[in-house]
Amino acid sequence: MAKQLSRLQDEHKKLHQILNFRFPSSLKNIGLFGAIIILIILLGSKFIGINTLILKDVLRTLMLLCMLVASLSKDQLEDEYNKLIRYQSYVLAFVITAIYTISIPLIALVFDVLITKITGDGNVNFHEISSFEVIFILMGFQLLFFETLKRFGRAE
Amino acid sequence: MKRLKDLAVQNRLKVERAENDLTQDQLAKKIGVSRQTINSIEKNRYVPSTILALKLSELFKKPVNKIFTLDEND
Repeated sequence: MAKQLSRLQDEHKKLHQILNFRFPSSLKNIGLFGAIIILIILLGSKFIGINTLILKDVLRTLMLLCMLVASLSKDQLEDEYNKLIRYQSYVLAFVITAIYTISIPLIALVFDVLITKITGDGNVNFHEISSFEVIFILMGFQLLFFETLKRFGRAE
Repeated sequence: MKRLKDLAVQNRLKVERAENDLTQDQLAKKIGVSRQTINSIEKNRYVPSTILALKLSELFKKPVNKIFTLDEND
């Protein structure tokens, strides 16, 4: 019994260490800057001749990594209110991403069916959302909601 | 008779701060939080933790329940 309790306490401690893990605040701007630069490169990839699928995948992964670093970096002053709005931003981002992931394929399917009926073409395709799209939306919304909630806190 | 479950926390932080001639920024620095935290507490958008309430009580030399009170929710 005592052994089981001690194991539970250890697990609880480890979980708290993961929950409280943050990168130094200096990495936040580096992460954001890196993500924006890679996004610009990806958007302009057709014009600058980066069309290989592997390079695109590498750039996408690097961008997600930069966003993750920005998301997990401390603010200059990380206090309890800051922690609260960080958790709120994760919850909001999760809900928005879940709604997006569920609704977009359904909306696309309805449009596909309507267009097929109008044009008479035979194929109805189900739009699948990629894992990149899901994680990009999740982290993008988290960063956006966090900054918005911080702005609300400053409002007089 | 007020029902306890309908009560919400109100505070006199703005008054205490004015009496001690402190700006939000100065108060924030004294207790080690950001100005937005002080602003959110004053606007009743955020109820601070026990430790922060005790720090404020220590700073203003007043019991916590003189700064934070339970009042009927608006």
